[in-house]
Amino acid sequence: MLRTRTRRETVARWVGMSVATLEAPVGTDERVARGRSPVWALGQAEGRKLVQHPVFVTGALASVVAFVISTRDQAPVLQRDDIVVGGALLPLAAATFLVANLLTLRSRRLGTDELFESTATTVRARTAAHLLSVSWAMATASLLVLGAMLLLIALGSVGKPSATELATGPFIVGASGILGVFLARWLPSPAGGPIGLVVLAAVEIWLNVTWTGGQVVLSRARWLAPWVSISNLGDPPRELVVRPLTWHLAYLLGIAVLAAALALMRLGVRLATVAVVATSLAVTVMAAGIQTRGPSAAQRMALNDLMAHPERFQTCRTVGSVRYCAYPGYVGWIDRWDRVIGPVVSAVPRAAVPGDLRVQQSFAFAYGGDVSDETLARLGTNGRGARIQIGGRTAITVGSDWRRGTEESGYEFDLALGMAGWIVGLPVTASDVRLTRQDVRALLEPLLPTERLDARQTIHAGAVYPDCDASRQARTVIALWLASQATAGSEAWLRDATRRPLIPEGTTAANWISEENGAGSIATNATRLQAGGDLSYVVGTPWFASLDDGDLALQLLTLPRSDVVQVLNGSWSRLVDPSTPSTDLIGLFGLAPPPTFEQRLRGAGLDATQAAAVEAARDTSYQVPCR
Amino acid sequence: MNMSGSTVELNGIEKRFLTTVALNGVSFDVGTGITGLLGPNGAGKTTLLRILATVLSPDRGRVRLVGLDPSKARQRLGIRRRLGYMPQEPGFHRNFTAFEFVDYVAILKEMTNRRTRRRAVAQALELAGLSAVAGKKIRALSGGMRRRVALAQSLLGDPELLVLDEPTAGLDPEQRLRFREAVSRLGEDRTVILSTHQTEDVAALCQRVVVMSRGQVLLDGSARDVAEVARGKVWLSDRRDPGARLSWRTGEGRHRNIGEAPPGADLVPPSIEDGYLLLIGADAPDQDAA
Repeated sequence: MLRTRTRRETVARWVGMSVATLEAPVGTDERVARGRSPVWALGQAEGRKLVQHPVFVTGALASVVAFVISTRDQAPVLQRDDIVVGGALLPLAAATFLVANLLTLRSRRLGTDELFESTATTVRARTAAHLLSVSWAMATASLLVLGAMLLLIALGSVGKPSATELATGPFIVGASGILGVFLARWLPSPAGGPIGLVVLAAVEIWLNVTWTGGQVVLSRARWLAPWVSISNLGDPPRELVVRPLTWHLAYLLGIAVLAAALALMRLGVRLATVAVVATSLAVTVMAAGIQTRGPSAAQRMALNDLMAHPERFQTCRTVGSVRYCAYPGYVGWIDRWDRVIGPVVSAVPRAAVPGDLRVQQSFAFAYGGDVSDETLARLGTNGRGARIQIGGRTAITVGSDWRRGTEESGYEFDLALGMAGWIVGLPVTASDVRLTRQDVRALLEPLLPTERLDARQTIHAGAVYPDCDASRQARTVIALWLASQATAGSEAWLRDATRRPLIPEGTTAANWISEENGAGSIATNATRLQAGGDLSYVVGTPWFASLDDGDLALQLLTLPRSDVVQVLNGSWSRLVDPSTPSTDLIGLFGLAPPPTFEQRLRGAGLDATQAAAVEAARDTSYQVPCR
Repeated sequence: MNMSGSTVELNGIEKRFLTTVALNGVSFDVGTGITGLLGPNGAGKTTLLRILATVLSPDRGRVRLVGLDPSKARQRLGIRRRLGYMPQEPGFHRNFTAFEFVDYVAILKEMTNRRTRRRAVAQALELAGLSAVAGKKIRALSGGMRRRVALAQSLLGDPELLVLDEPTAGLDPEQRLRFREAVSRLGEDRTVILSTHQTEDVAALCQRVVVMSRGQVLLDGSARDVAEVARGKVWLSDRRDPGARLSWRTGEGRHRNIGEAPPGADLVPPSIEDGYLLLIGADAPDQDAA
């Protein structure tokens, strides 16, 4: 008997309660008289302490910062940003886990357990109060979600968020808090919280990034993590991703209820608690299985249709001479696109404006979504930057992504340039660039005989070619001017592109030239207009211009717009002819000749020897001209 | 000593921690008034008070508190609803204010109505002399004030049975006087059991004294009874008497001796301290319970 009591005392000390409380007989009803339960009042007191805790406040602030950082550059799209909001709440969830754990352990840490045990409120009731206190954290999370949505709406969002998706964040916060309480009861150590947090974070990361055969793959097992990103393989449009949100919420709820029940069960087994454990476990397992099944065949077919046949789903509107088509949820962007394209079209002689100008939203950048590989192959996409024909009709394609702030100017320029290029007769889509016999001869000529054999598979007359050289054509300069005069942002973008340093910052000409391909990159920077860069462009024109063209376009910007338009009206046909050189514009508009290649190198601080090295590294290979 | 209508009834209480016997057949009853548990470290006072506070159960023996049996869960709940307990080492939620902490305990004592609870908390703090510092964080309070916070929470709910373990430990003389004032008022109409090393507290407050040592009751009586143990065994001398069990130099310059007085010794009236020392023995080692 003595040994039994000693064991009980050991257990009691480990759990952090008195033997008297531990020895409450199984199934004994200690429920107080109706109306006197202190669980609610205690839950409110603990809830206040939870949300006032410095760690919780820090977590909330970190969530706000995470949200701002995640969305600061993006034009808000509510059906995508509702996912971001959930992810931004992860710091708050982590904080809630830690604080709930700390507060549940507080009486043990600070030695008030004995005092509290002498009161009429049992440890079980106190545990229930801690579980209830988590609702304050969920309420805080909900307020943050509401604030985020209001901010996005104020920033001019489009689309509609999913209520279920928005609920996921607060659910994760609540489940985290409950897990913190559960851990405090089963591992009553101050080290339990931090260790538990590391484990949870590792699980979240590991499940969201699944490796197979040395490559990251899109895995449905991600749905076992609390928060699931839109894709771990890229940034596909929300519309091309199947998210089993209802089952995920059921999964989170099941985990939360299971953890809560187990926390209470630690203090005594009751039939009702066992039933709750069994039920919540069943719900969790079932939800886990269903949500990880992946899209059904019907769902995949629907996504394929959405991508391959946008005309069935899009809303179209004609503004002036341009027909805009957008998917539901993005129709609000038509005005945004027209703010860029309208000034381009209005600067062109009316008779010269093609009658079939179209801007059509495309989900061509579908990498990382749930669209089948067959559809992607059939549509000829290869991830970012691919152009597709939509329904066999030419269109300027715009994606599901737009930027805010300084990066928006790049988007504006690219969209305007795509339309401007179309208007002046430059290629619009990748399939517009076709090789002639002359091109084939010139491309194959430098190759070895064995190389030519392989090359002929893709290089032959009539074959599609990725891009063409529009350098030093008058129409190229006109297109650049049309694009850069559209908005203040696009003008700023062209200025930046023409002013880019030939040598990267932080190094010298001598060092850069000594690098592999350093001289070659200087030569390229001194000749080609690098209006692209690292941005995920909206349109991406299948042609490139020279730095000289950019210089001339900038000079045109210094002239009154009306003057330029007037000249265009009188000389349009000649200026858009592919054979008209850009130098003709010098005399027509009274422009200064752009710097020569050598002058550009001297202006960048290269000495004669360095300039010679760059000249020698200049790419003189054949470039398919734009016709 | 059995009393009719006893709030506390203990009969043959035994408690062991591993190989250490903390309580060995303790029996006594307590009714309205202030009862002091006096004894050295390890006498079993705290163990006994924890049993009275229902946070520990005895290995053997019978306990009845306010007429209820604490070994039965439902009755234990009833006891706790009528109990106020101040542990020997009361922990505190240091980031709470004094008011918040006492309010928290009030909730645990099922005072769920916010308005009445806050009134009760204010009253308890006032009784403990803490109204002026109710809004201060506990970590900013002195040790004495923290003990008064512990006292304040024990007074919540107007408990019938008040169990105070070493309530004056660490208090300065003024704080101890204030405490005596507060507790003496409380003892007029409820049962107060307090443990202490301080014979002055017992002499000043307790109608009844239980002297304990090595888990057993050595004496159960009044403060006067404790002093009477040393009747005829306390004398003064100019030098230390080698035959005395205890001898120390007083402030007047003479030596006070306790033990078997030699013939012709200058006997003096014994104090409760003299009787206590004789009961527990001057050379008894500390008996730390597990």
